[in-house]
Amino acid sequence: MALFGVPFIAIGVFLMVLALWRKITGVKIAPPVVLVSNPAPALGEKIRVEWELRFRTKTILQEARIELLFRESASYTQGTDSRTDRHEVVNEFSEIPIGEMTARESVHGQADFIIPEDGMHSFQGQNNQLEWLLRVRLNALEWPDLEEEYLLDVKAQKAWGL
Amino acid sequence: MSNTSFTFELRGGETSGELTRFLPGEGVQGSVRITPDIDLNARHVYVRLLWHTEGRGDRDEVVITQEDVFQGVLRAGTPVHYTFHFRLPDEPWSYAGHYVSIVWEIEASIDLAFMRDPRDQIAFILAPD
Repeated sequence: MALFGVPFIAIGVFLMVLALWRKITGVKIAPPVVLVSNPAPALGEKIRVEWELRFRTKTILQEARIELLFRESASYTQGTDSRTDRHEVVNEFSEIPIGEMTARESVHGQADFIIPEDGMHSFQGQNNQLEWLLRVRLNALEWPDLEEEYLLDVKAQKAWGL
Repeated sequence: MSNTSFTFELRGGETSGELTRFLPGEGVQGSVRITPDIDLNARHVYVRLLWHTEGRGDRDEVVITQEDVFQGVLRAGTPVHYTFHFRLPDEPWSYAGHYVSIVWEIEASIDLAFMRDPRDQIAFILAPD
């Protein structure tokens, strides 16, 4: 009976740690604000991404970038478990300025990305997904990494055909 | 157990490797010849347009449209011929990736009582220029 509860306790602990992790990263850096010129672009379309980072305390940013990536997700059942395997390809990225940020400092910028014309559109199956995302990755000195993702809905159209 | 042969023929499209490619929204037409080796009392003979996923994940499948082309007895050794004409949707496009593939097919199947349904498919590509 005690063994039966172990997976549920483990899941609960994992969710608590995840929530705590996000809180910890949020102590120094507020969740990035990302605005996209068109969140539902066509293949081959250029999108402009405007981003803003707000630092709550003094932070030394060691690495920072915003990425355009394509992800395959495949979920399957193995026995009584449900698993998901993912394969990602970072298509393009833009560096975000790094260095020492002071408390209450905010930095912002913009980057242009092109959804590859010969790529695949977004696809949402029950067990399989093909997704385009923007991901902000921040690595601060002596602090947990921050990653935030923003889903794009890439249409099954080519930009030149619009 | 029946050993039924299915022979598909697709018309139109463009040859792409071993498959035929059709554009989104285009019509796909063709025929299937079915030859059973024993008499089969078919509750239905279906011809379907569908896509499904292949790869690491559990299968996703959507039947876009299905035609019930025959009900009755299929005679052993006597080929029957059915034509089909389907309008393709705009998506999803055919895809072959690392963990996920999307495969488009025309499938013919014979619905039998208390027997495994004989079926076969022909794959094609749905993709723009």
